[in-house]
Amino acid sequence: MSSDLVVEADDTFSTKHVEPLSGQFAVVTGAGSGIGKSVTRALAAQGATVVLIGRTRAKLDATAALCRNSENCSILPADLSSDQELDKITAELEYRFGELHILVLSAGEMACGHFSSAPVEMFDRLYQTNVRANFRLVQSLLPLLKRSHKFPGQIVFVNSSVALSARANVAQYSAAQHALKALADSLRSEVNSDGIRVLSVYPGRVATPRQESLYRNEKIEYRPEILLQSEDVASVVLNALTLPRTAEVTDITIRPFAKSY
Amino acid sequence: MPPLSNQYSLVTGAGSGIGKAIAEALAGQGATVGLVGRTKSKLDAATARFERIWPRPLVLTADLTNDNEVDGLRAEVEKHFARLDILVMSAGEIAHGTIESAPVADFDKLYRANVRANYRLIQSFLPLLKKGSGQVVFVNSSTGLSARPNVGQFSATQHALRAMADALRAEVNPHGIRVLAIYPGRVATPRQEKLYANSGSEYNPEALLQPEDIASVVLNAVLLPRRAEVTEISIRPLAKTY
Repeated sequence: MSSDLVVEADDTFSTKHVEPLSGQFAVVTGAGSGIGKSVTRALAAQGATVVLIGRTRAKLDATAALCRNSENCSILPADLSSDQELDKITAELEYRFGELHILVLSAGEMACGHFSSAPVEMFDRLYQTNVRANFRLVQSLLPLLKRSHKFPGQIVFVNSSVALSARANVAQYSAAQHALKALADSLRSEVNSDGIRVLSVYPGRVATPRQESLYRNEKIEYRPEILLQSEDVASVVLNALTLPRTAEVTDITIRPFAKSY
Repeated sequence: MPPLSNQYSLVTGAGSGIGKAIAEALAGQGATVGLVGRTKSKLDAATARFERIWPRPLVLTADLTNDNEVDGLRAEVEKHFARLDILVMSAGEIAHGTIESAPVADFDKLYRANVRANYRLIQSFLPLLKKGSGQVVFVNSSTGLSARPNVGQFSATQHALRAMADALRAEVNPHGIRVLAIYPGRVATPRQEKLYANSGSEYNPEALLQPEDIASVVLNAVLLPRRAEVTEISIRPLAKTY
């Protein structure tokens, strides 16, 4: 005997549901690839309006195309080491939104080298892109981050496990990342009374295009499946960003479970 | 199917506060939860919200500072669980006092409750954790990373607990077991309320962390794909209240 399932229409049921980050404006640097790309997608999926910043227009376009609410994503190609371009970004955001709620700093560079031989030009470059550019960007955007009472600002520093514990062969990079941690910690103390929260995430090795070229240069077998995936980092970041405002996650350390070197 | 279906979990300190919130969150994701605590009535009350949740939780009373009771707990769990997938250590005690004057009896008590008990607990349950790919969660404290005045004895136990977590992680990672330590600042719990009452300070629980906040970050980490391991999370109230 067949039983017909009777479904009664319920006119009072509303299919509209509010996304957690609906109405919030976010900026993600390094949005063209890796962790920045995954965080962008995760923010958009939760309803945020996202501005993608990076050096390569084509990569930013590709990321935006993958976002669920791609109409809420826009790109802003820029070289963050240029003070002029920083001013341009700030003016653009001021004009378009007038306030900023989420800033995710995921742009940066990495280089390996023995202490005895790594060129000082590389040291300067790493400091410029990973420390100075982030310092100037936060300085520029702080007024926007302080403006909203409804959504007080949140800043996420995508740092690295080497910020906590330096290893052989990455002295310059570790130094830059240690410096970045110090910036985040000082900043947190200063902006706390404005209701702004600051999170630092310290991932171990993540399967990204950058990681792949590192392994290739070292001539080590690249097995991305046993590394962290960008989405894993994005998951912990989004969890922290959507916690009630009375809580502040300050630091998260995350690494691949398998030791691969 | 809920993400933690067919996963067996044990939560100590589950009668109240953070332990209770984590137990609820685990059950909400489908885990079979064993709630461990000293007071049966508190545990029963904690499971009241589990009435509508399946699978039914296990209520287990034990004084974890008593070696026999830890062994008894293990024997009881083994009757019901084929393995242990998630162990959450949220039981412990706190006392305030200066190093100059706080009694050494308090020092011993805190050491037994916060360090030694967890040590014995881990030793007892490692075989069950190794049967699958287990996860261990240490609910530590911000004082485990940075000691403050007036909580010297407690900070010492929490620093010791941090060392245990780090050493354990290195030892059990090769067995497929992940270890997370979470370091919260002040959380609005009955224990916190008592501390404020004792000190005569005004207790504003809404400005503190909520047990559910801790549960949220723990669950997020516990549910991550196995290729990832969150090792440490520091979380605190946004507002400075002291």
